[in-house]
Amino acid sequence: MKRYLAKRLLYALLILFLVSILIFSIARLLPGDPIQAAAMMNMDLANEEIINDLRAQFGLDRPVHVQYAVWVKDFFTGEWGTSFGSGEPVFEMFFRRLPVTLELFAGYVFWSFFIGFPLGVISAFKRNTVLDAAITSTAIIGISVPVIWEAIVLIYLFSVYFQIFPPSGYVPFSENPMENILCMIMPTFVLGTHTAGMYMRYVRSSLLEVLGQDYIRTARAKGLKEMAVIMRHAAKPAMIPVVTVIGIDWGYVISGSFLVEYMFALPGFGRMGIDAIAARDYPVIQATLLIVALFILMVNLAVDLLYGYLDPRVRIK
Amino acid sequence: MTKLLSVNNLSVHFSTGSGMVKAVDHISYELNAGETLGIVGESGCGKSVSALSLLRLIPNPPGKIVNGEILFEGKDLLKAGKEEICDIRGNKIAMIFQEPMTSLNPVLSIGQQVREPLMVHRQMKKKQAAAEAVNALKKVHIPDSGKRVSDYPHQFSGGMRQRAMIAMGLTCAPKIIIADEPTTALDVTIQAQLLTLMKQLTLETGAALIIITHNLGIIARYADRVNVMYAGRIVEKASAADLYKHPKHPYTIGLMASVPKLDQDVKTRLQPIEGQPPDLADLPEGCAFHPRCRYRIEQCCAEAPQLRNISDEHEIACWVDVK
Repeated sequence: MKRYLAKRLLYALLILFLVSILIFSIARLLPGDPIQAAAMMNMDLANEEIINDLRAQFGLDRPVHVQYAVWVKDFFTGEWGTSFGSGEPVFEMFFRRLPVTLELFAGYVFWSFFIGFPLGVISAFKRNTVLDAAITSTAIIGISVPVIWEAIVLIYLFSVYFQIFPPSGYVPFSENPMENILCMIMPTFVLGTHTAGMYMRYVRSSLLEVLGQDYIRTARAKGLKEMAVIMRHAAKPAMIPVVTVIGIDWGYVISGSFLVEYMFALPGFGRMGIDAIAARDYPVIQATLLIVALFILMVNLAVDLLYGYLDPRVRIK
Repeated sequence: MTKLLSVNNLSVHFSTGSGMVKAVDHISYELNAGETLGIVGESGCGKSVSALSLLRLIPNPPGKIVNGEILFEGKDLLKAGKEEICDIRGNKIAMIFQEPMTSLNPVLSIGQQVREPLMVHRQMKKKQAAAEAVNALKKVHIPDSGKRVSDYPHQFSGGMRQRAMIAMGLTCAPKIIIADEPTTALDVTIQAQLLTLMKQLTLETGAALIIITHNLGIIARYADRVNVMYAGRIVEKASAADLYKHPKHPYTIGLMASVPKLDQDVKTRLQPIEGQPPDLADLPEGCAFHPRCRYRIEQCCAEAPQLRNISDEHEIACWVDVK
């Protein structure tokens, strides 16, 4: 297990290095630079001398590899630079927005797990019944509905028609817990719909496959009660394919969360990232991408470790 | 000898896409304490299904025990409640499955799986059961069992996995052990080792053994009595010795003739049974074997023969007296 863990960690670090190079280059491969972008908006700056001064001030006149090294060093010391757009320190911008994104993500996990898993299990045990058909159809609808459409329908229903939830905006939990939860219910639900449907499908098929295995019959032949058969013998192997999907979905949900933050006007860092790309705000773009990459890497690492825990064939060669 | 188990008129049906399949059709047999009963037949003849139904392990749907009774210690297992049947499984009647690769749970260690019956049926605590598991593995000659007990199935060889299966089956000292093709996936030398081991262990505990196999050699060597099955029915019942000397049912005769013998002349040709085993969903009228039978008479096509005594302890289901 220790060797397995060390190997996974090493891979993660290597990937992080490659990703950081990619992120650093992508921003620089976009046509134009931030000074030009600013100059286009503000004609006073459209002066060769001022532009060069500004480039020197932001370190943009230095060779690319030096810029990279400086960026990496600064990233780890919390010096994420200042936004070219607002002049605010990027580090602070992030940590102000982090609670919003984290809350959105926590809600997403809540909905997707608490809808997807129980429905999947029920559906597997009631296989080929009307209930199973109903759950499976609901899951397919959940998977197919576009986030934008669902958001609009929910806003119309619950904000305009029934007026239960606010249509958009964010209230911090520390300010008003009740209102905070009310304003997060719809965005998190919209974000979790697709994934809940996926989980339901995977849990159902995975559980059915495991329950058909010979070793489940062996467990029954030993005299184990049905509950013990499921908890001790079926649960772990049935989770293996589901964990794969969780890993993929958690990476994928980031793009969904950017969209949802926009739709519901939540000040998370998805919005910040999109605004930054429009303004070619290098420090913010880079920090956003790196945080996202770091998150995905961590999820993948967690998935790998979970595999090791669930499946001894992965852990012990 | 004391009667341990009697199966009366057991029928198991499966509903499939091509209709109702009578996998087991009105079979009756008895098992005495301490004896070894062989059930032999081609794949699909219902031998595994008949064994699984003893512990009510037929997957339902599609399978269903539609008729019969299985008397064990004076109780009909088919009428037993869920709790009662769980109490018998692995405790009084244990099963050893074929394919040790897929019959052991890949995510649980060997020890975890071997000790389970003890924890369920003997209410042992984990520690005590774990120690017992090491002993059980020692008994089936797993080398270094104290250490290997925490291995996972994929770290065991095929033969060791089957030994672990046997250890698991024997932990609670059951009265009956059902071995469903216990050595099919193993090579011949290991087959012999395992069967001898199993036989020896059952002799020690006085358990009765039911060996299900398509291998006539195994039956000849290890069984006391034999049931030959064809298309869901028992077609011949005899003591192993008698069956080999005087096979009476045309199907048994055919089976014997189709097995190569080491002492036979190289030029002697094997005589296969002509034709294919019948489709269980669409059995021929009369005796199910008649389309392939060399000895058939008119009556065979019209009426299915019942088992009848032809000598002491030897029964066949056939209209003809093959000389």
